Amino acid sequence: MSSTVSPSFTACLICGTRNQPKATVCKECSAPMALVHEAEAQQRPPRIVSVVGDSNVGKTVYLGFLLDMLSQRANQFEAIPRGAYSVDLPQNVISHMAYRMFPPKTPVESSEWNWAYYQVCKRGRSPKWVDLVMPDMAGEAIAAEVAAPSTFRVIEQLLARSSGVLLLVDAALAAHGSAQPDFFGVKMLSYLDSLYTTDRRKRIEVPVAVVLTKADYFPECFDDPRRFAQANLTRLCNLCESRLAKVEFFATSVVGALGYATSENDDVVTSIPLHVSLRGVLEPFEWVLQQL
Amino acid sequence: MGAPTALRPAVAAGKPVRCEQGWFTSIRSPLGNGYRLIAASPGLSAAEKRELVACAPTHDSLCDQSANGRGLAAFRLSSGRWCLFLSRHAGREPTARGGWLVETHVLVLEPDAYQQFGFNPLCVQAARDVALLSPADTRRSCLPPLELTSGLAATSAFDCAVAVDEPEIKQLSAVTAAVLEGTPVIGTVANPARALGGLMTAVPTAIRSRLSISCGLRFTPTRAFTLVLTDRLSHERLRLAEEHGYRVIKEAAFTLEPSAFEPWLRLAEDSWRRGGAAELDRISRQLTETCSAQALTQVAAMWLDLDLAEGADEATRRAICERHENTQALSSVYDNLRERLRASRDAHETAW
Repeated sequence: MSSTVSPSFTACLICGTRNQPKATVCKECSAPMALVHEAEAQQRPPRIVSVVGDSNVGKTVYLGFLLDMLSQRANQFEAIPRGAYSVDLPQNVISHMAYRMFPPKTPVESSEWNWAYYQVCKRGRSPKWVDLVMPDMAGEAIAAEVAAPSTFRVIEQLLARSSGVLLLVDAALAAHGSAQPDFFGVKMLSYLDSLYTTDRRKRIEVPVAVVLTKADYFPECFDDPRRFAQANLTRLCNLCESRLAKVEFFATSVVGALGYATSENDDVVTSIPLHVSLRGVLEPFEWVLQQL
Repeated sequence: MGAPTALRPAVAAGKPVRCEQGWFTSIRSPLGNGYRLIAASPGLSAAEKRELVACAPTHDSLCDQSANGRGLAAFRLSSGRWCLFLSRHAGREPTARGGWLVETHVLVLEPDAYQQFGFNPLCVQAARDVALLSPADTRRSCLPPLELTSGLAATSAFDCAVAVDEPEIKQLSAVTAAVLEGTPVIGTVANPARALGGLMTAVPTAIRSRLSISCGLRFTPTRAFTLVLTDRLSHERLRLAEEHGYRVIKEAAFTLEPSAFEPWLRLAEDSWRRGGAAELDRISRQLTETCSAQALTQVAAMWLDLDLAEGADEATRRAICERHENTQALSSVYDNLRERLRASRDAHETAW
């Protein structure tokens, strides 16, 4: 793979903008230029797997723990971070959770996002290494882009180049009767549909894993995630069946128990993650990897 | 030294100005949560909304991390209208993940309307503060346009209550030099709003009319405006700023570079020291034509001579007048000041 346009410029891996060779981030979309240098060193095209979802759905926590589990060789996976910047996200998430705090909100500004570039492989008879690029995008930025395409060009470019998508949906909200997760999921899929489809008669070939987050609120969700989705996310489920060629539903949970705290001079109630109890974190990713 | 600086423009009754408005913040509603444009007046176009949403301040965007943190930005939209962000902290972040909730009042003004405020976002902010309904009252998805009182005639009456020290004046001068030269500049200052108040008095209208500003907001490439006044820059942001071609002028760690605008800058420094910022602002606002270094040098020289002539004897006053008599004016402001000099000379001669 070659992303070098000419000796004096380097093309951004995400948006293709020509940047100075010494640039650290793309002047257009703020993606780290280290992605390009790493990709060139590997001499194979990296695959982008995007984690998308509404604000506060749990993208940062999910992605942080996923990357950490891969690094810890869970389920015979092996993952090698390419560059220290790739470790920032899991470090941020794990450190905060260790202190019983959720990580801070991901800023909307793309220059502040954490990006991860990992070489991943599942050990077996014929291990195949895959280069994966996974950014932690802000939910607000995704929502703004979905509502008005081209607001955040970086998201548009990123999703257009994605080989797989993990669509996170708040199962707890859906189980409590809120239609918001369902509508957001439908909007997101319509956006992807317009991005990927050239022929309306064909379905989208990009694998999409619908990940039902915070499933510990509704443990039945783990038994049959698809059925849960059919019952609580009907619109999304129907659209998945109509438009996606490769789709699967998963339930996931990171926090085992939540506490709520407030101080005497502050009326804000803060949720405290009392302990971490990972469930169903690896499976959606593994499924997407198999589809690539 | 008791050097006062121009800080807060006062607003008196003036011409009413209509502008479009919106609120950008994070609230939990049936339509979702997270930062978005929660309310807007009908005159805001979809393209304008898209453009402003991409750079509006959100969580952790304000420099001042206190409950009273405020920040502002002003920039020209592709439609040609001016967009102003007037941001403040409005309680704790609603998802309780730490930090403050940022609430931004978005104002969109026609260029003519912005001109009535002297292209000075602080003047718009002052007018908005007078006119504003409480945010709670305005939280409907559709808002009426906002009517502001321009009060341009009164905006020169600056509040000169706060003194600044010499290093701050020198830094302000260095930032002003970059603005006059048209170089993107970031100034890291202790009080961004105060710095902006002082700085604007030394920036002619011709330059203000194309100056995009970020004040009291953290620097990010998505808000890569021409003038950025912030409290500090981390190593990463400094590197980003340099990659984006900014001249960075750090508090107490900058070198004064020679500038073609030196006489004007000396005049500005002197005005800030003496508490003459209001007068400086008045002159700057009259400079609506293209401002070359020569034109500003000429105005600065004339202004100094006007001061000198005030307390001088007749012979000196005549000599000063003669010095300017045959000079070709590079701006109408110079012409006006020359008229003032002549009038002063004639008045003294009649009195004798």
